Amino acid sequence: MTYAPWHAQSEPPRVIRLDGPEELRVSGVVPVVRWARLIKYSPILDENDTKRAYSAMQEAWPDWQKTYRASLTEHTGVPEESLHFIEPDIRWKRDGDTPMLDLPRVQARDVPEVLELRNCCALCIEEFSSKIWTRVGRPAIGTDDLAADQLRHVVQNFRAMATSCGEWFYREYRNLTKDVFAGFDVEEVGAFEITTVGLRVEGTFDHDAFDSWLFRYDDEGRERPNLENEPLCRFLQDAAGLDFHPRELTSLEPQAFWMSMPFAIELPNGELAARKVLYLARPRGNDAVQVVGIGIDDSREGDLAREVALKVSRFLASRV
Amino acid sequence: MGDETPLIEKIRTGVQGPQPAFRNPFSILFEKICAVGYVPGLSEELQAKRPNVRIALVSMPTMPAADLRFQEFSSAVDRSEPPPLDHKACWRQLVTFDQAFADKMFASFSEALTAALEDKGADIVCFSELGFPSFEMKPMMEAAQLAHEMSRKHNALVIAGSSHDARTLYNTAYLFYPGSDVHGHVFHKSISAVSVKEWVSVPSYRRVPLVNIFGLKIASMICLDVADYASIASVVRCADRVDVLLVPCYTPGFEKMAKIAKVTSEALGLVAMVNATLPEEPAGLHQIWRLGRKLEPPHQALPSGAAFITYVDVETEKLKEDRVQKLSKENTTDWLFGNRNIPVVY
Repeated sequence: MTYAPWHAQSEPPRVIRLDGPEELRVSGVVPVVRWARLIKYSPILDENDTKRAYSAMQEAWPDWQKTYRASLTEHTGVPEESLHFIEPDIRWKRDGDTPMLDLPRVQARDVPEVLELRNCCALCIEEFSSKIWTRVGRPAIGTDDLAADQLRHVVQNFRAMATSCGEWFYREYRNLTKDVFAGFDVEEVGAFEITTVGLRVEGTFDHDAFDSWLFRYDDEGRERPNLENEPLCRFLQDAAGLDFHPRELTSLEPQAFWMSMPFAIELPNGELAARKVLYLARPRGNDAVQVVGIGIDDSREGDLAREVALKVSRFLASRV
Repeated sequence: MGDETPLIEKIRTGVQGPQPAFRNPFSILFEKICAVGYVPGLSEELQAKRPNVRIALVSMPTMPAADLRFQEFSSAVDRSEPPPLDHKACWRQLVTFDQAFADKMFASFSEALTAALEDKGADIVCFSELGFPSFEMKPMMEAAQLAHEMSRKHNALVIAGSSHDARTLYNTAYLFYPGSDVHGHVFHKSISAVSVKEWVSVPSYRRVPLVNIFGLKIASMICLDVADYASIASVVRCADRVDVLLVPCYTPGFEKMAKIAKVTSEALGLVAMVNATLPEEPAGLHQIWRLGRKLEPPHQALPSGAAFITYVDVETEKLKEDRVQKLSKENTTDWLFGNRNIPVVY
């Protein structure tokens, strides 16, 4: 007899809840979309290779930045004069042991839909793939929260920008570094999207209230996503662009799975608190994956989505 | 030919791989026991990253155990009976120092601050437990004033050790930073070290202070508190926002703290415990662990010979890089503290 995993059951199993899902007043949403092309170099890169790539891009930058700016306008719809470069230059840095090439962060504030965008290259010097990233979100400081009913529309826009800008940037990166990597084989591994949405809430809650909104516990105290919570499911649908109920995800897409990532936030009173973001991971064809998460954000800065997106990106990037 | 495994399967394998085979069941229940909170009032300038931060660990002098004098108290606020009071549960015992020893402590305290801050340019000074000068179980105002002034003058963080306080029956520690209150920021020990005859009262609400300074996020707790699972797990729960744990100690059993320091450093980053000078016991002066590896910088005696200092130099950017590398790749402590660095897969 084949055991049917819990998430494939057509009817929700009987569960014991610690608390019923509370009515959360979501005052706003904070979406962040990260998109990456994955490529593998053979032989494996070393740090000098990454520095040579940096030099090549840096050398091209004075002339190339005009093209770069025009392309951002093309892919975001934001007029060039409204795009503000927060940093002037490309920089080389490390994230953990991974050399990174960061292009300048760009913001557009004096437009109807504010945004912030950065392209960067995580050049792996181990056996894992390198990632050419594009991140699109809203500026962290000085912008009002997005209304919850705008989530689907804004995430769709951010997703489209991240994908089209990302594909362009990837081609440009390959072109600008073709001489540096002339002696290397480059395998295109695929693409992934990591979208995280923080739900801003008002008031003081305790950990259990948030936990029970996102998760439920079965008879043995094991945690599961709370897919009986319809507001949560609507947010997941909006963030992932699903045209079916999230409860059907793993039956319609058997390779999909659920996971959660913990993160510590700073509360308005200065205390730290542990929060979790619930993610779905689903294939988009054979070589692309979409990872979409929803978390409750009562942090002082509204930075849950941005920080957890980075943590998940680092974690997944260190494994493929 | 490339690997034809679908990308989703590679990701699933990558995520499921590091899941701990066993998860400590207590790790889901400790959340409400101890709070970790930022110490307010540090300027943006103080919070700005410094490439290198020098931490001075000061092992303060002590008395021989046979010479220690203890005073007893009751924590009962109303001693009327019946019904009978549990007098043993209300019993408290704190150590008291006379003027001569208080003066010696103050002299060592002052000497250590001068050596660390003026001579060696330390950015952070952390004193051992019961190393804050006190006289007859009252912390010395002169010590607070000195620590406050030195932290201001040298733009430094001073975790000034602790003392037993007869006013509260607590073991209370003080930390000072430029702009802090002249009396410092106060925090308390939460566990009595009964094996060394300490029977203190503890606050009803446990709280670990967190200082955001010089680009590092530094938590501090006192001695045996690190051996209390709920307290240390509360700090690890917030590991995304804690880089360093500094622990003033006073214990003959200091070497037993090594395993705790090691595992906690694997979860956090840098853990440095500084012990008082206990000449009668073969206890070490420090346990310093960086991401699971022990550091053994030499200690130096101060000119008076009464106290010792150990310096630890931290490259802030390197510590953060190494933390990212380790915590996103390895899973050596999630079995103990619950998933903090890796996702839970359902």
